Amino acid sequence: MAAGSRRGRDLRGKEGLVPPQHRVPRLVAGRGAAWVLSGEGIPSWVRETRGAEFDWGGAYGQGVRLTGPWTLEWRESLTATWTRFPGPTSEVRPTDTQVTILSPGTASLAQVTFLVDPVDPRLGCRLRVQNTTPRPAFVEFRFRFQPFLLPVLLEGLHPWEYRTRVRGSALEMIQGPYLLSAEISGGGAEVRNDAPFEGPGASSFPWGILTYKARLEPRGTRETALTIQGGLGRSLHPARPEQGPSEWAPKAGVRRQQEFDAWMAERPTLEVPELPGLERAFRAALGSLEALRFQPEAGLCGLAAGYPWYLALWSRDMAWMLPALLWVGDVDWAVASLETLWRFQTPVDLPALAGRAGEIPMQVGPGPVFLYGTSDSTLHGPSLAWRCWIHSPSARRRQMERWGKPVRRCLDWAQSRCDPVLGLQTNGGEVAEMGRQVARLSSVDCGFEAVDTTIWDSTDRRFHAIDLQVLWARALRGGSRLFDRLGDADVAKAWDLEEDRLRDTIARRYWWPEEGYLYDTLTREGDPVPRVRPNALLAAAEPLLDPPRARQVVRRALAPDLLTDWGLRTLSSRDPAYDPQAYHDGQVWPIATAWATEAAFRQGLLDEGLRLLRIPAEIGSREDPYANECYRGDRPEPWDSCFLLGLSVGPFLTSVFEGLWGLSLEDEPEVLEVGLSPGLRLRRMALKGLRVRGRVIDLEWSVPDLYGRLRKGDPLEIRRGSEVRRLASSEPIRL
Amino acid sequence: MSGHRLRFDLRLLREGLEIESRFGWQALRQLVSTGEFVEKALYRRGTLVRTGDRGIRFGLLNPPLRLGAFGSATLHWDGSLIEPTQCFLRPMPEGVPIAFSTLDKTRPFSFLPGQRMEIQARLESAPSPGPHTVRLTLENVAIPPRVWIEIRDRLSED
Repeated sequence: MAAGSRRGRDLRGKEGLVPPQHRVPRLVAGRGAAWVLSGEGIPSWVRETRGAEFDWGGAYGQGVRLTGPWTLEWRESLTATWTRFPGPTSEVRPTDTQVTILSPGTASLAQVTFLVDPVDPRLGCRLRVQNTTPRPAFVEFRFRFQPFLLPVLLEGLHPWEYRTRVRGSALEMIQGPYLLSAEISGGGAEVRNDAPFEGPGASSFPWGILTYKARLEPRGTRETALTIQGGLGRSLHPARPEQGPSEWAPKAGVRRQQEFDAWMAERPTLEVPELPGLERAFRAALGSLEALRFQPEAGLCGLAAGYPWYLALWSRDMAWMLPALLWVGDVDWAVASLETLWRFQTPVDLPALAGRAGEIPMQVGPGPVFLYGTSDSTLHGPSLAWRCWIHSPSARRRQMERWGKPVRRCLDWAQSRCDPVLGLQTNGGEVAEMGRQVARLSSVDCGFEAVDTTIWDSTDRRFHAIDLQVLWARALRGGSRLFDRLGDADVAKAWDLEEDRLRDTIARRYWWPEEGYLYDTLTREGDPVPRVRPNALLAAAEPLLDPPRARQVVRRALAPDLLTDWGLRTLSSRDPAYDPQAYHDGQVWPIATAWATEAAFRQGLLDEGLRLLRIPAEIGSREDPYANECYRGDRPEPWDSCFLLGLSVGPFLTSVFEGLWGLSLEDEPEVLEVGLSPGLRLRRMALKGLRVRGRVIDLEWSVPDLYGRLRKGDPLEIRRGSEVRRLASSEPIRL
Repeated sequence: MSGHRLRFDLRLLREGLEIESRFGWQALRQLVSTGEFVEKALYRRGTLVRTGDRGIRFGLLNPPLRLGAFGSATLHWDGSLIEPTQCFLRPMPEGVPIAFSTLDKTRPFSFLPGQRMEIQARLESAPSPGPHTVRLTLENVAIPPRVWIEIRDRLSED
């Protein structure tokens, strides 16, 4: 993609449709730090959150919100009053990795650029002021912020106790184990805090203030920079003199852009001339995936769930993103992410953290802090392990031979949650268990009255949600295939038989003939719960249903009570419990749209698949460069929505690779399957630079033919229908 | 220390050692400090006071676990529900008390991080001095499952 375009547009939806508080902010993110900026480029951005408005703007490091929102002010004489920066005639110039504001004053032109370190939890800005007159001039800048210093995953809390101190040119603010160090360089710069530590009786939060004043020669220019380092105090290294703000800032900006460009250059490109919106949405999603790569500290690697309030490693969210990361060719990051989850898988029961033996944590934050207690996170483990295996070159697989143990633990954990009579996964009661543990440990108890923890974890889907059964089937299949490759055929066979039984149970117990759909869940006794949710589509995308039934499921899901112009609702609008602004009982979630897309293509419903792909194409290019978490069920307005969520990005990308192109991989023998059908109503499209186990491949579709070309690597067989050809050179092969 | 208490502490100790051995000392330390922080960040101990004959109040330093707009609230005093018309939320330091009974989905109140809130209530009879349990339950307009906070503290005189 063209560098400079990803964050370059402020696309706010159809004019008048999206209220100002929902408008697109600007994210400047590295692996360890991020700025959340408003559309006009300052670290202050008010977003509707859980129904109320809250300012999420500011600096983030290691998953810790370092500061609250900032105010920027300037003046052109010492006696003048402070003026808000930027002013009404300012201009914002965003690139992929930084945001610059240009603002003219009476006698000067000021330029502030927000940037971030590619790796370290460090971020900052450069300030450049130019005297635009032939006379001497003066300028003074003031940056003010309040500390926050709490991991983002502790939603809703703001600390009240801080220690602050000035150390040379740095202002340090400390809260518990969290620290930020703000520094501004150059003559005329100073730091101060306006309120010493006052403890819990404080009436307000302290302010950190960084100022810079400069006399400017006629037509002269002055520059300075400020930086913020922060996160876990123990893991931060004091800035070396050669890495002061003025030295760090220009280099960091260049390094971050180079890293972004290098990553994007290795990703595939999608060309669909008849659907330019899909091309844009695909590019935007790639850029978003890059921005979500998150490595808050040594040993923690993965993809952040989202911005601004899900900035942590959430296993469930990573599980839905990693297939896309593998298809775009970043196998190393995907493998490292799964290794992180294995690291926190508990081999024994940990009641204090609501963990059962074999369980993968719900979330991991800096510290590390981790909690268990979901019904689905662990079920993803075996299928992710298999996906990593199948996408990895042979040399990479030696590392994965150790994965047998964690995969087996996942399946043992799942087995322990199987209903002994029904043979189905059981969900419910996980949050109550966590509450009991908190009550053990604290004299102030608090908790949620949530009874359930499926992906729609704010609603009651007890006791045998359909999606958990699909994930269980995937887990058994992934585990079986991996163990077969690891040489344990008996275990593999046992899990195959288990999957066969599960397939049979799903067909018998979940089919809802009146709706031509699947029941959403079963009661504890096994009675069906007649509720239409999109989760049944997961079953239709797997080899779990007879094809005619699977097609019925897809068609039913596209009825207007579930499908809107902006995606699929989480619950049918005909359901008595439907509420258009309830998170999981009516809101529209892009991930559900991706499930439908994939199911439609898998079942050969090509027109339906294309119709569904047009939704993210339209919305994705409108929201470029981000992807909202969810929308109201009654109008296309983000509601209680992170502006960027991996659950929206990853499944969309996967639906392009596995749905539209019908891609799948086999390893014995090594084959890339392309499931394109001549019935697809697209005359031409191309997927170039696809990375498949060390090779680079181009695919081009020109109805009714598929052309494959090997750009790099060893020969590979490619299959379309019954036809198998060998890709061995850059000469296109037709299938 | 009772035998029950001893067993409780040993179990906790064993879990702590398990966490330390599996995930490292830093993880254990961070988990403990996070738990302590959450406890301190929600309720300001010692603010449960008696006001007048039948009134009580206490102060919160933050919303319990979830920020946002809340369309309903209930308060229990030692397990008994207090009439919503007799319960009030007062944003601190200068807010106007809002009766629980006036809240609904279209007229919620916003409770944001760092917002101090005083909860006031008028009981049916005069509360006794000594330890009490107060439970505040709130329902968000966007995410239905209710959040709650339960405080155990001694009631002191205003």
